[in-house]
This record gives sequence, structure tokens and C-alpha cells, in this order.
Amino acid sequence: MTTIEVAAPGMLTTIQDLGRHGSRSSGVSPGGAVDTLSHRVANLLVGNPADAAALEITLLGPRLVFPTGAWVAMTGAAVGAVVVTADGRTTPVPAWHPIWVPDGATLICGSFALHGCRSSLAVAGGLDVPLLLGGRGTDLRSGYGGYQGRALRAGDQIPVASPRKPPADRHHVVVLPRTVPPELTPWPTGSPADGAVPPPIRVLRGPEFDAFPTASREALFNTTFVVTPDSDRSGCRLSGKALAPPTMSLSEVVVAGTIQVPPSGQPIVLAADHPVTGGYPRIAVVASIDLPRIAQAPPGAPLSFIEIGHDEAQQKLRERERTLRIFTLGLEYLR
Amino acid sequence: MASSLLTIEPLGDACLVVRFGTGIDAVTSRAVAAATAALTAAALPGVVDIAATFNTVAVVFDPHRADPRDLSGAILAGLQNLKSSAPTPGTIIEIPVAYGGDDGPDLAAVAAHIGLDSEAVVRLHTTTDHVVGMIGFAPGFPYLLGLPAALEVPRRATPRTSVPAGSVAIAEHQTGIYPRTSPGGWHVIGRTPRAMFDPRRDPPALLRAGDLVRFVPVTGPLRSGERIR
Repeated sequence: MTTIEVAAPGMLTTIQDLGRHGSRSSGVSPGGAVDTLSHRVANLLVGNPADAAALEITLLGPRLVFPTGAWVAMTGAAVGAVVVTADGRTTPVPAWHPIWVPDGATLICGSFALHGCRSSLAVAGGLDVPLLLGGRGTDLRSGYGGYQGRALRAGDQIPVASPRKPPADRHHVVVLPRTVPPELTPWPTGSPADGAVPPPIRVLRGPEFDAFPTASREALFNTTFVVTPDSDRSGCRLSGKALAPPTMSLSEVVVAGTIQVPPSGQPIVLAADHPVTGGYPRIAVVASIDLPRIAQAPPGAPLSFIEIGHDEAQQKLRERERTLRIFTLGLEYLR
Repeated sequence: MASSLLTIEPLGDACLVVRFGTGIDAVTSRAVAAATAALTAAALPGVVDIAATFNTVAVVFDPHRADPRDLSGAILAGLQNLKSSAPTPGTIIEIPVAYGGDDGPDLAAVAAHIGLDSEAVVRLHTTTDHVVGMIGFAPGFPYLLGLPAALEVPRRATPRTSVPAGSVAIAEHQTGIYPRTSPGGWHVIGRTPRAMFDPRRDPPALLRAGDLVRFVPVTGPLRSGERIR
């Protein structure tokens, strides 16, 4: 049995997968990785099924000790990571590539560049935590799932399910060349680190869109909102021109990406850990294709919205899925 | 059931919402429960989850595997069959409740507000059947309909920061049961030792939309942390 030892947990590191599905009628949040695209790509890079349990790292990375070597891949927000081998040598390792971490080495994930918020760290074989309600992810609010229902702490021992074969030279860091197309990252139009200005987030009209006054409907699309620091796994909270929400008499169903407007008028974009129902008007819903971009918006990031139709939303998603399938076909090596 | 009145509307590109009305009543809740059961049993391709509210059933799907237009048709077909099938009466689930005292700190205030004594409030609350309108707010939290009109009180002016797990509380025309200790603005009239939610149980919530609930008074206060399964 291979385990990974947590030397330092980082700011908020949890075990996540692609969520719990099938228990919404019991009030169970889907949970899972907030940026499902980065989670899937990280797993695919190390030969795992896309939904294997992996680490979700928030803003500041952990320090992990590998008593036995393992293949890992990091995606999502770019962490400046290094591997320190048993002989004390430090090797910088890139994100978006399969990396062999040798026996006894330590993987140190640094803090993120300003354009990201969450990183996925997959380990070949997948993290071996119990399946609960159809998922292995951590539900922080309810205190179950993942590693003992909580964020990682120093001293935790994370079991790895079925480690993959080591490379011929298992005592040195190995980085396998891979090219992940930009469409399979949360920055399809180029990294803001290179000066690219991200286009507005594409949204579909929500069920209560028409109940908002005209000025609020226009403001949704003319305002540059800013992500506030109280954002978390249940929602990305925004601040900007206050919208005027109509009153709702009953709670309604919500999904990840639903943009709710509470009485304060400041919108909340729901994320993985959202409650299954909500009582605030739903002015819009973020198109699935752009959910990874919301997941990666750090506090202080500017966000604006643009309307998209249902057909276009579906078509964009299909195109990306096709790219992902083609990419996966070229990744036989680690299987 | 009035399935001719239902509408299907999208919620984003990965969810379709079937609406059975805009109000809140036991008849609609039963229709929603029947539709939830039928659509769950239908196991439509690409559907990953089904959630119900007082008057809607939401069908959450994987947009990579299902086309919303095809799915809309399949949902309508699934509910068409429902129309001819006889409505099944919901299960009656008995919930033991210790009323008043430390278990129900607001019982006396509710009684005073509506001009009755505490015994009368308990009698009214335990002699009618309540229907689970929906599960929401927190995992396993039931919104129960069927509170006698005489017991209708507005929410507390100041919500409590902490309501103990198992608390049975009323507000407006509803009763709720807190599955875990949480903040709450309803009037707590009693407490049940039954676990409303257990992630290791299938289904994890004790109650589901459409179930009938009968509250049974138990004598004496509950021991701290007392639980029955």
C-alpha cells in the first residue's frame, strides 16, 4: 500500500472527484472539484479515469512526502512546484505534465500566480478514500467524504489505490512531454500571465431573468464585477453595481453556475458545494463551457458576463469534449 | 394529475425543470413526488440526478451525454404513463417528539401568540398528518406542509444562531426538522431523537418529498444527544 504523507497542508487542500450525483432529493450537494475540467485533465495525464479522486489545492499549495515514488500531474492554477529528492537536490517541475516523484522525495507546491485560484493534483492510481453516496469528495459543510470529512492537515497519510509502474530510473525526477491544448485549460484564449484579456463569461438567461427590472438586466451585462474574498467552494461572490432582485415566494432548484441575486443586489455564482435549493432569484446561469473560468477566478479578479443561446452553449461544449477525446487518445503511455 | 398544465423550462445547459404549478399545496406535492419516482425509475440516458421542490421536478443531466430536446420529449413521455397509473398513498412515518421545556423553548411563546395553552398546541400539531413538501436548506431538512391554520405564526423576529439537531420548528404554514445543529429563524417547539440524515444510509435522508409524517408526543425531556435509528 502506497501512501502520501502531508508535511504541510497549504491553505485549503481537499480530496475531490467529479461529485455526488443521485442524492439531491435528500438535500445532498453535488460537491466534487470546482474546476472539473482541470480535474479531468490531471487524471488523464497520469492514466487515471477522469473521475478518480485527486487533490484540490486552493491558492497556496501543500508540501507532500512520497515514501514510495508515484506519477503525478498538476493542472489548473499554475503552482510553482519543485521536487526535493532524498539527496537534497531540488528540481522545478511544470504543471500540465506527468511527473515521476522518486521514492522518498518531497513535492512542494508554491503559491499561485495571480490568474488562478485552484489547482488539481492527480496521483496515478487515484486516491483511495471510501466511496460515500456515490462520491469520494470532501463535503466540508456536512463533514463527510474525502479524508475524514475535512481539509488535509499535517501528518495525514493519504492512501493511493493502485500505483502505476515506475520508470526505468526510479531515483530521478522524470517529466514526460505532453501538450495540453489551451481549449482544455480554464484559459482557452491564452493565459492572462501573457497579457491575454479574458473574454466575458458566457451565460444563459435564468428562470427569473424577466422578473428583474430592465436596468438590472442591462447592468448584468454592462458591469465589470469583482470577485470578493468571501468566495468559497459553495459560490463565487461578486461585488459591483447592485441589481434589484424581485421577491421569490418559494425556494427553487439551483445548479452549479446559477447566478443568484440576494437582497443585497450583489450576485453569487454557485459552485460545487451549493445547497440543492435556493430562495433567491436566478437571473442567469453560467454556460457549462465557462464554469472552469469561474472556478479559477481569484478574489479581486474582474468578471463580466455576455449572453449566449442554448444551441451555441451546447455546440461549444461538444467541440471541447471532442478535443478532450482526441487528446485522451494520444495518452496511452501511462495506462 | 393535472399533467396537461406542466411546463418544462431549462435551468442553464445541464438541467431541465418540470413545473407543476406555482403554489404550495399537498396535492401538488403528491404530483411532484409521483413524477420524481417515475422519472427516477425511467433512468433516462444522460440523467445524473433528480431533485424536487414544492412544485417542480428538476432533471439534472450530463450535457455531454444528453440532448435537452430529446430529453424533454423523454420526460414528457415518462410522465404521460404516470397519468394513467393510480396515485399511491405516501408512507406514514411517525416522528417521536419531546415538546416544550429545553427541547422546545418556543412552545410557550407560540401558545401565547395564538391564545392557546401549550397542551393545545401539541394536540393540534400531533393530530394532523403533515406532507413532506420538499427536502432542502441542509441535507435531510424536510419542509412539512399541513400545519393547522390555528398554529400559523410568523418567523422569529431574530433568528437563533444555533438550533440543536433534531429540533422541530414551525413558521408560517410549515414545520421543519433540523438534521444538524445550524442557525434557524423558526419557532422551536420540540425535539426528536430520530436521525433525519445519515450519509451511510440509503437513502441518506429519513424523509422524502410526498411522505406523510405524524408527530407522536413523548413524555419527559430527551437526554442530551439521545438518538434512535
